[in-house]
Amino acid sequence: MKVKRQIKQGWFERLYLPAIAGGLGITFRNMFHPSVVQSYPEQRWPTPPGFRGMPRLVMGDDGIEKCVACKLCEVVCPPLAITIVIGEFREQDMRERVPEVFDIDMGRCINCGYCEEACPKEAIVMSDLYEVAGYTREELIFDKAKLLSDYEQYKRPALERERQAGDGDHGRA
Amino acid sequence: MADKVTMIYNGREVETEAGKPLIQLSTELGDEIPHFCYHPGIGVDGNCRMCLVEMKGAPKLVPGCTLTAAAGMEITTNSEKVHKARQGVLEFILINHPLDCPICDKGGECPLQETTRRHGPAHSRMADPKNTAVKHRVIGEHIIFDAERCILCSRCVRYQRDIVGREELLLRMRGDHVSVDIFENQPLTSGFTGNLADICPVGALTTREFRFQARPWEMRAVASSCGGCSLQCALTSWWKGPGLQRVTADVDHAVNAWWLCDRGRFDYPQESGLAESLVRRQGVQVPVSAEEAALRARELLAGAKQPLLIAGSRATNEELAAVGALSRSLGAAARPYPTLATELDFLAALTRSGLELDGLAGLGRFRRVLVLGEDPELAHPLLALRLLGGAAGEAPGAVTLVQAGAWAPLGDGNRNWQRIAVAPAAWLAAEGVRYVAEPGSLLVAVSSALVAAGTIDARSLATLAARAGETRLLWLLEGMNRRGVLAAAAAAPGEDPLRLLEGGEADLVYAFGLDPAADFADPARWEQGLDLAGGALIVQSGGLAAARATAAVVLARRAPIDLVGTLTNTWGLERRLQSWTPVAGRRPLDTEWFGPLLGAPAGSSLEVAGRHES
Repeated sequence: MKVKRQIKQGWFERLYLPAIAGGLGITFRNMFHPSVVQSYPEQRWPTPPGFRGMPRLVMGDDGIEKCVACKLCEVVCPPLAITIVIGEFREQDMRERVPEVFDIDMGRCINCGYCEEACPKEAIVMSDLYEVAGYTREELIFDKAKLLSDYEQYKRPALERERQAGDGDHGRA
Repeated sequence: MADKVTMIYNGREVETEAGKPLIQLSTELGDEIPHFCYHPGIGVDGNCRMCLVEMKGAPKLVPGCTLTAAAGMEITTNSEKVHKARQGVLEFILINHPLDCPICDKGGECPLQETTRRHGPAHSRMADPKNTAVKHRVIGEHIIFDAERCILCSRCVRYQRDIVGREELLLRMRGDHVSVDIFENQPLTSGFTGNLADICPVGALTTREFRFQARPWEMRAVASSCGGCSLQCALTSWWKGPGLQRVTADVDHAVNAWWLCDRGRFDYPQESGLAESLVRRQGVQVPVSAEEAALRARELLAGAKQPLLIAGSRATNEELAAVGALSRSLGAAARPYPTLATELDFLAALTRSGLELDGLAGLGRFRRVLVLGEDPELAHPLLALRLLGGAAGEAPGAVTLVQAGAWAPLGDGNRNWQRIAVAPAAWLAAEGVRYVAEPGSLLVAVSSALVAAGTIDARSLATLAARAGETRLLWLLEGMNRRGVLAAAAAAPGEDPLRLLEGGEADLVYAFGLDPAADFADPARWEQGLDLAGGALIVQSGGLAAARATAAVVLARRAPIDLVGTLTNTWGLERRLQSWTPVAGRRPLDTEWFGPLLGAPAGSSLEVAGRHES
């Protein structure tokens, strides 16, 4: 196919000087604008509400993870990133059931947030963390200890508000 | 056959059998009236009120479980009135039912969960906290009771009372203190406690074995049969990948109705096969791959002058046939099945006589049942349960049990059961003629030992055939597929394998799927014979620990619950065995390595692997 180019430059355009002046104008204007560049990683943007970072496990107020290994997140997880092995809790009066193994393969996780939606105990949440990197694939499989460890550091403000507003158990019969 | 009647169901004219339970009818029509306390096997109680329906002519809603189809009946289950009643009933049931579905073993397959989702209110109006109770109380060897979850439908209490005939559970206290309980310090003892977890409509009664093992959606349910005894009850095995998680009962009216015994549910699935293949090299058995072991076994079999193959009751019909074909193609002199002449004669006579019982459904038609030579509760537990009859009105008039051994506790309080602790041969000599001569329908169940010993034979059958009234005989074989072995042996020519084995004539013995207790009238003699075979022995069978230790080749063998094929149950009914299947590829059967010896076309996985190695 033949393309017809219809670019007609007048003498003014062919001078080029006005265009150079216009470009330099933008350059100089920006020199005096306030800077939008941040010194990552020392400085970070606050993440917007509803941001879905890495999933994290939540520690209950009694110092035991809230997760009861119901496996709903495991079954709902589209890339099959979650592996759970059910365990029975030793001091049974406090809680009957905890996950013996809770692994999330961050190499697989697509941050879709379905696990958070499915969880009946609000035991898994999407955190603000978004830096996932490792030198091997094995390094990217996060175990229970790791998923629980830095939760306090990265807990979401929205969840905190919800927790303050009332207990998480929605009143279904 | 019951009469046909026409009735109106949700404005639709329906033709059905008179007297059919309404809940069953609703299920057939795809409507499914929700219910908790009603169970087709346990019967009507009408206490949970979940099944309320509208019936024309009745001033109020009627519990659907108490109704049976009748001419001119008009039932409505989809009206606003019924809908409101269901919501109301569920709201009351859920007042104290905990919201612990995430940790409940029933979660995902729970009738209460499903009914609430379909018919229940979306929200609770209860402001007060729920009642709490003991959440995990062990009330039997296999059963854990969670009092919080219990909705007091009393299925378990009625099951113990009406089906098992041992009142070991009760509803204790009154009003809102009422709770299902065992008697003080008396845990459940019957051998049928696993059924409690099956029938509980919530997660109040769960098994210790399955506690926190898996969620229902993770497992694949495979319809199969139990090989724990020769009745071969229908069961569902639940697999997560290659791992067996649990076993539940399937409905089969000819065999087990709704139930399974604890032995079939908990012990039988534990029975192991052989995981490793071993080959003896310089006097030491070393683990090798299945292909390598098969190669060595084929070498040995092809080189043997006088091979002896034996397959027993731990093999499926297909495996028995495969070993038979291999035995023929190798030119073995003996037939490859351990049987006794008395057993084969009796099988032929029984088939000719037409006296054989064709199923355990409708045992109530027999006025008298005589069980000779075993306590059915120990040897064939489901037969004992069917003889008790239960609420279904299937119990025979009187049951006489004659055996010299120990008794299990089941028939204790049952007035219709008479237990005579005498050797059956002596009892038959003294009482037999008089007992059999009495008219009226009669079922005689005889143990395999009595037939093997010749106490019961073709003449006994002739006596039974001559009497007045309906007469049936049930041959209670021992072992998983003994009837299949006998049927295969009846069709296979050849000498008695035991004679060849003891004579030391065989220069190579291949033992497949044997159950020494069931297959050998005298296991000690067989073991001595297998010892004689010594180094020239190939074993592909569970059990036989002594023989396995001396064998030249040990081939891997599937566990009984993992077998695929068919079995023949004790009255000749063909039963299906099924196991897990991998997502991709296929699992070779245990007899596939015979292929090249049988001149089968190449292509089996083992054959291909063998060629790669050579």
